[in-house]
Parts: sequence; structure tokens; C-alpha cells
Amino acid sequence: MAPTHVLVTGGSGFLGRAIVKALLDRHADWTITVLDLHVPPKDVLDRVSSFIQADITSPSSVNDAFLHIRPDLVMHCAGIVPARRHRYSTNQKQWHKVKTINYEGTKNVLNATLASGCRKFVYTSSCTVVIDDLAHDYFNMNEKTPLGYATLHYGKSKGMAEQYVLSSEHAEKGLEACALRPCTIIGPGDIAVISLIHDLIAKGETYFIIGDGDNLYDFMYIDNAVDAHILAIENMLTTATAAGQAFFISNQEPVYFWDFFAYIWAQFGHVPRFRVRIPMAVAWVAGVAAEVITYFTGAAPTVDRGSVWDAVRTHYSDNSRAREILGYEPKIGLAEGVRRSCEVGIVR
Amino acid sequence: MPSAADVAYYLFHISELRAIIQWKTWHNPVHERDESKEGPDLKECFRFLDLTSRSFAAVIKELHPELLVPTCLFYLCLRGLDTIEDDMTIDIARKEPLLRQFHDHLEDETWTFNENGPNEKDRELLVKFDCVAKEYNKIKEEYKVIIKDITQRMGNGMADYAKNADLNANGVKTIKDYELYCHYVAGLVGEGLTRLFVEAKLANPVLLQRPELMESMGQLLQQTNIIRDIREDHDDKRYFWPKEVWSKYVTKFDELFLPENQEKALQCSSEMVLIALNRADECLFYMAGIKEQSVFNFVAIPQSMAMATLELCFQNPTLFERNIKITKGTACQLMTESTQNLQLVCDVFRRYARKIHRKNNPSDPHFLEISIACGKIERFIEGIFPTQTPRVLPPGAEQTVAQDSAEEARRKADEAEAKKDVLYIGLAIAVTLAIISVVMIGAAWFFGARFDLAFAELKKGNLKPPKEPGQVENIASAYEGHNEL
Repeated sequence: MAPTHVLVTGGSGFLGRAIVKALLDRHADWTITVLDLHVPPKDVLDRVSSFIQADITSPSSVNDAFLHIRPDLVMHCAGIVPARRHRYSTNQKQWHKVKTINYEGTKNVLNATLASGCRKFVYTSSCTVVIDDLAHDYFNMNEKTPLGYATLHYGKSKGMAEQYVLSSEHAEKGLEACALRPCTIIGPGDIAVISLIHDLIAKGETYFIIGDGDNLYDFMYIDNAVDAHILAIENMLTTATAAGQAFFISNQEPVYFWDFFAYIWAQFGHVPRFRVRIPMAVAWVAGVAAEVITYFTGAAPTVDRGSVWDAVRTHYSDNSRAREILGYEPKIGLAEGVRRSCEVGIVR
Repeated sequence: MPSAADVAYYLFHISELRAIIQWKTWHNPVHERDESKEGPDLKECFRFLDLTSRSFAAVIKELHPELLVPTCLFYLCLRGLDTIEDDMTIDIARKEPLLRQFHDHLEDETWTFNENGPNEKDRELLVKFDCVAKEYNKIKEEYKVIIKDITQRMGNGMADYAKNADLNANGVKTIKDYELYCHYVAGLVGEGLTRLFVEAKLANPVLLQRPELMESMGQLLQQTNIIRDIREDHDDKRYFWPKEVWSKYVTKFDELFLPENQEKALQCSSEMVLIALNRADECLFYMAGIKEQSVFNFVAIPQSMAMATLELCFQNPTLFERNIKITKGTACQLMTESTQNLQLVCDVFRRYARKIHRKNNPSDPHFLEISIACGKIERFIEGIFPTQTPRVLPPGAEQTVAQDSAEEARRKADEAEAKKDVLYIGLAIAVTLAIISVVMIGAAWFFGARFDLAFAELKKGNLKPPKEPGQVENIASAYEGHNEL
């Protein structure tokens, strides 16, 4: 019997390379192929069966990549995560870029997968398909929570892509696919969360709390996200009970948003001497002012209306479905995860 | 009589005074004892209850008649055990068999115990224990079985601890040992009470299948007391904080009390609070399974008090200087809130979780774990009483499937264009009508129309032209300023 062949798109990225390493460690007899625009780090490149350089936004590039391979399963986690100043962007050019990579790119990969004869697909979606709706709070959100309210670029593009992957049209062609919706992932070397929060120390922006500070957020440590993906891959290659479904995954330890910041700062030896609570309305006005300043100066501010909205709301998910069907349980606690993430220092 | 200091205190804390008055005047017991029907032995039992339990006596007496006497007796039996266990004047060789065989005396209406030290404050209970046995023999067999079983297991547990020389000399070692100790002195009480509640059909039998829930009820109360009593226990040379915890911060337990170690002591107490706090959501789960109001009051009041006490002890240096406790006003407010329904008790838990979260210190090594523990309480509460605010999607909100951007853009462009067209048409029509109106009115005026006269007559109420031809001339003349002769 030929060894199981798994193709991982985005295998050079933060989450993707961690998934590749875990697959290599746990299923040493499998054939692992990485498909990415960028070359993976050496320790990954040396161990995988093959690396294919391709641009997922180009149908011909992806189709060429699949010409000579027929994987048993495609793990698709290639995508762009607009971070820092692009997170709350309303710019049309930015939207077009994010949509092209996250939505069009996913269509290209899925279409090439089907054309190659492969019928198993695991897609890394995101909890932002729900929570990139800054106007609402989401308590204990689950897979029944309706989609379509996301307005930020990232959540909107991931929602469109997820709908495409899980559509009944593809299921009728025999495709067995599932989507994982990780909440915000932290880990060693992450550039979107830990380093961003760390930078606030140097900026001198650690002494305020927007709102009452009692809002809760969900985070997860990368090793747990990887576990969930491995479980999903194994499920699709065996019973396929996960087919057609999306799964929220997190650390199941919602935490006060501003405490999370304070703990990260404390890991770097910084404790604000005092913290001022700024009413939401005042902060919103400050956000507008900051946007005006940015418009004229081109500088990248920390505060804008989007970040103010985000900083005062609550969202966390219920992982019952992932626990029941995939057998997912977070193994590394969030506090331990933060400590591990901060130990390796800051990556920019 | 309130002292001058009390008067001054309440003048500056009016809300607390209000809470006390409110509790005193508005609280109506769900059930009340009928003392006229009690025999002398039962009266004596309730006297002992008042004597030995300042906090529990009131809520026990308000229990459903079915449970009133069994619960009172259960409490007194355990208090009897505790009185023997606590007494340092009794030698271990004598104490051990007393504890292990205590349950055998429950039915013995002749047994009493006179060997407690003169300073043991509850000794009278044992000196007259025969009246407890007399009442015990009168209750239902099912209740007797429960009380005897728990008393036996607790007696054995206490005996094991009493003869543990290392424990007595050096205190509890591991967190596991600490929780096992709390199990014997409090977790078993939770189990016994739960079995009594279910036997009386006043609680959901499913609670018996979730032993971790009743265990947490006992653990939270006992751990809170151990945390709060740290100074008092230390003065009595008793050590219940596990070495596994305090050895991270100091090399000898006594060093926690030195002023220069205040920061480490607070970090140590934070970890103790964290261990207790992780039980809170299970306590709420347990209380959700109680069906009868007086039983609910009985279990909810101590839990709310415990949450308030944990918050008081959290990040509080005074904890290591003297005994601290919540104010009477706070206690009355908690009792008022805890004798209504589960939602109000959840609000109490959430309120104190948030207070703890706000006092949390980022320098504390367990800062995030404590934040997560508070978040766990909030998440559990959210699961049974979902938030309903404008910022939450209403149940059944329609899913609007995300669409391809090209189609979406086209649809939006079409809509925008249509809207624009409508606007332009409306605008054009309005402008045209305005122009025509101006031209027509201007022309009429130019050719001599007397609009001024028309408006003046209209104001007088003359809405129709006069019938007589001569009237027209009269009207015109009235405005000329002079008459023709």
C-alpha cells in the first residue's frame, strides 16, 4: 500500500510549518508535500518529501503544481492575515488583496484538488468569520451562530472561502471537507499578537484601559491549534465524520482582554504604575482623531475606531462539537502558552 | 446597643445600614419552626445548634419541615466529631478510637462524653449528647443511614489525620493532601446534605451522579475558611496551607508573616485563592439542581459569603495580621440576594469574580490563571443566563451567506445607481414645477392680478366671490384710501 500523501499549502507560515512538523513527527511514514509561495525554513525543507513553489492566486500556477501529484488529502492553510495597521482597514485596495489571496486562492486550490482526483480537504478558516463583526458581542458562540455579519476584510474573506469549501455543490461531487475556526493564535515567533502587544511598551501605551475592562476574549496556544488540525486530518482519512462541518477551536479559557495584555507585559518585566479607565465614547472620539491625523501624516497609529470597538467587546467560543467529533482537548493551558511564547523573545 | 464607632461607621456607609435594615424587616422565612410541638430533647438540640453555629443555625431553622430535624442532627453529630478532633488535651491513643467509633454512639441514648478540656467551647454538646441520640432514633430510617455513614467516614478520616504526626508537626504537604483534608472535613458534609436533600425529594437526583459538584460545594467553603483563618491557625500552631504552595515563596511557613515578605505572602495567598476559585462554577452548577426554596437558601447563603470572603482575602495584607471578615452590611445584602433565585446568586458570583479580576496584580505569577478562573465563572453563568443586550445577535438571527465580491459589487453598484436615478428624477421634477410656478405667478402679477387683495379677503374668511356685482367695487374701494363722491 502506498504511504498516505498529505499536501500542506502554506507550509512555510506560522501555523503551517507547525502542522507540517507535527505531521512529520506523528506520521513519519506519511509522504508530506509543502506548497507555498515562500520556501519553508531549513528544518522543515530538509524533512518533507517535496516542496512546490506556487502562487495560489494564480490558477495556472496551482494547476501546474498538481500535475505530478495526487495527494490523499489537502490541508489548506495558505492565506494572508492582515495584521497591525491593516487589521481594521476599510481600504478597497487592501480588500481586493486580502480577497484575492484568501478567497480566490482557496477556490484555486480546491478546484485543483478536485481536478487531481483528491477528494479530502481540510481548510483552516477562522473564528473571525463570526467575530469580525465589531458591532456585536458573541458569548459562547458555536457552529450555529449565523455567518454573514463580518465586515472586516479578513473575516469576510475567510467566511466566503469557508462557504465555498463546505458548499453542497462540492459535497455532491464526492468531496469530503471540513473547516477549523481557530480563535486568535499565540505562540513562539508569532508576529501578529505577542509582538504587537510587546511593542506597546516601547510606545508608552500601557497605562490605559478602554471601557470597563470586564470584557472577555478567547486565545489559543499554537500547539493546541496544531493538535486540532492533526485530529481533523486523521478524521478525514478514516471515518470522515467531520465532513461538511466547521469547528470552533480555542483554549476554552476565555480571559479578560486587558489582563491578557498586562500579563504579556509582565513577562517582559513591565508593570504599568497606574492604569486609567477611558470611557468607550471618549476613546472612540480619540480613534476618529487618530484616523484624521493618519490620513494627513501617513503614520500608523495603534488606535482607530476599529481597535476601539474591538477592545471593549466580548467573544469566546464553545468547542463542544470539536470535542465530540474530533476528540479535541486543549493540552497546553493559556497561561503556560503565554509564558512559552514570551520566552523566545520578540520576532518582527 | 451599637457603639459610637458603629454609629460613625454606618453614617459613612449608609448603603450597608440600608442592607441590614432591609434584611431585618423584609426577610420572610420560607418555613418556620413550630416550637410548641417540640419535645424537651429537640428543644435542647436546637439550643445546641444556636450555641455551636452562629452562621448556620438561622438557615437550618428555615429548612423545609421534612429536613429540619435531620439536618440539625447531622450538623450536631459532625460538630461532636469536630469537638473531639479539635481538642488538643485528648491524647491521640484515646482520640483515635473515639473518632472511629463515634457513629456507633448515635443510637446509644445513654452515651455522653465528659473528657473534653475545660476550654473546649462546644464541650457541653458532648456532655449531653444523649439528647441528640434520642432525637436521632426518632427520625426516618433513610435519614439515619445517611447521617451514620457520613459520620463514620468522617470519623475515620479525622482519625487518620489526628494520628499523622508529620501532618500535625509540619502541616499539609501537597495540594492533593490539602484537598483530601478538605474532603474529609467538608466535602463529606456536602455529600451527606445532598443525599438528605434528594431523599426528601427537594433536589434533583442527578446531583448524586455528579459527585464533583457536591465535593466542590464543601471544598469552596472549607478552603475559604482555611485561607481566611491563616493568622488564627498559625497562632494555634496549626498549618493547613499546603507546603507545595508556600514553599515556592518562603522556606519556612512562619516567614509569610514577616513584613519584609509581604509581596511574597500576597502571591502565596493569591495561589490559595486561585485553587478555591476554580471550584466556583461547579458550585453554581450544583445550586442549579436545587428545587426547593429553603434548601436553595440553605446552600446559596454560605457560597455567596465564601465568594465575598475570598474577594476580601485576595491581595489583602491584613490577612496575615489578623482575622478579617466581611462587614455585617455586606453579609445582610448577600443573604437578601441569596434567598431569591439562582440568577441573583449568579450575579453575586459574577460581581465578586470581577472585583477579584480588578484587584489582580500583573506582577503575580498566577495573574493570568486567576483571570482565567474568573472568566470560567462568567462563561458558566453566560451558559445558563445568556446576555441579552442590543450588542448580542438575537436568537434565530438569519444567516446571510457571504457572497462572491464581484456579484456583491455589481449588486451594490446597481442599487446605488437605481437610488441615484430616483433621486435625480425627483430633483428634476421639483425644479421644473418650481420654474413653471414662478413664471405663471409672475406673469399674472404683471398683468394686474391683485394677489394682495385676495389674501386679505381670505384672511377675513371670505372664501367665495360676492354675489352682487356692486360688492366687487366696494371691496376694491375699501383699500383705495378714499371714497368717490
